[in-house]
Amino acid sequence: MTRTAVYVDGGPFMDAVRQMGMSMDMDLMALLKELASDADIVAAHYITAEYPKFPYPAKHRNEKQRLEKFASQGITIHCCQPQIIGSIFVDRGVEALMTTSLIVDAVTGAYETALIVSRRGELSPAIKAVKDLGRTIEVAHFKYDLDPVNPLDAFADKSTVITIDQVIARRISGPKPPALTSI
Amino acid sequence: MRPQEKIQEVRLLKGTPYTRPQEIDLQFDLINHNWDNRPAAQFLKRYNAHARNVLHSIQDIRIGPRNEERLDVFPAPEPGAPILIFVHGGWWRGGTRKDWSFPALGFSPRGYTVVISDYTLCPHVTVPDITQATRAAVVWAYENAEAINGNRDRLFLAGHSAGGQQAAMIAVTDWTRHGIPADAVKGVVPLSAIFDMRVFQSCWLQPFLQLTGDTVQSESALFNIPDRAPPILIMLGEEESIEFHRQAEVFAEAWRERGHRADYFAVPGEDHSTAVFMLGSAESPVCERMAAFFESC
Repeated sequence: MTRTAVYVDGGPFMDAVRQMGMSMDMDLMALLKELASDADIVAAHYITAEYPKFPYPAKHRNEKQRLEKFASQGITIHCCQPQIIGSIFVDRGVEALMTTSLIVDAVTGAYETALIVSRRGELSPAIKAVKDLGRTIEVAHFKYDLDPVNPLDAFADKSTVITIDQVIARRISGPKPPALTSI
Repeated sequence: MRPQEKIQEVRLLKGTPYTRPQEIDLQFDLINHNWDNRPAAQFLKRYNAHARNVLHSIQDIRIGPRNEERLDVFPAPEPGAPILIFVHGGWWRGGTRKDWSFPALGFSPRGYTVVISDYTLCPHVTVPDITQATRAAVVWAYENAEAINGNRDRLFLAGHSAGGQQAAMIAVTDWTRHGIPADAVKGVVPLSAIFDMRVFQSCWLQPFLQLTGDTVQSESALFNIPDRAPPILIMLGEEESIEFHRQAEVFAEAWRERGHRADYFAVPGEDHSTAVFMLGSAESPVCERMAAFFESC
């Protein structure tokens, strides 16, 4: 069985789940295993910019609790501090963390295959470097009609689209999107 | 008062608890607080199209002098249904009714006729023009209730964000000045709403809104609470910024002080977008709470 390490780009993943009407209270590890085609997941990393306490105290608190739940599922949480420029949040550090983790873990032989849950094109140099080291790269991502192409697909050995049904199937509690049925 | 406290008080921006415009921007610059805005666009595209595909609708009914002042109506299948008018947000400068068909998915299964109102955006118009368009939507729904299978005696309105400000303005409107009964609107739900517009005079939106000393007063429901008013249900996401909570709490207290009913619901675990997206699901906590409120009015 292939030894796979998973790297989740947490901020965009959370936005995808929540803004499409789904719940982040889920069995994320089970979803990642499914996306990795039931490979042997040797490590799962969730990398995100932490939501700032000000002006969002409840969102900050709830995110902390969610991340603790993910940690209890065996996922390693990596938090960066966002930079606030004027009134704009910038997720400083996420790219660097994902890039260095991918490369260091490849060099140390921590995985044979890396599954990257992201659409962040800036990771492509790291992906090329890891492939030069003989590792396999898989990408999983949500697909959006307004921007259907994941720039990482061009560099990956395999690309998987995450579906709403897959996420709902792993839901523990919380909202579900409207059903696409006739009324 | 000690000298330091006096200096601090003088530095507050007028009518706000803030000392610098950037502090207000930080409370309201919502789009720039998401890591990725594509999923919200996907949600809206998917479920608005679905609403228009599966529900009977009468679209683009012109109700005002400006081209955008139109309604999309999703009539209930049977006559005599309660009517819910929904007013979209977008900081008075973005969005159209076509982006907000999905609330019909939440309330049509509950037997409501749903009306999605619309307005011309700032800076082409000012906020009072938008309020006038929303009032026209109410008058139209009241006068045409039977044609859309509605019951004019069960007329409700909800609005989100900037549309929440509009909802609050509907709650303080004297309808006798608009040719319909004073109690024409039976209940109002301002969702993630603004009740005190003074904060926007010092915010990044002011170049679009062009608020004046007069219009911050006339367009702030907080300063226009009448003696007679419908019940309101103030809703917002638990996870929204501090200023949304401050506005909601101050208004709820003022409303109650005038002897009116103000229910209050901070939707657990939800934010500015995710709370309103629940309007698309009939069994969601948001639809459940709103429907229960309307039934109690």
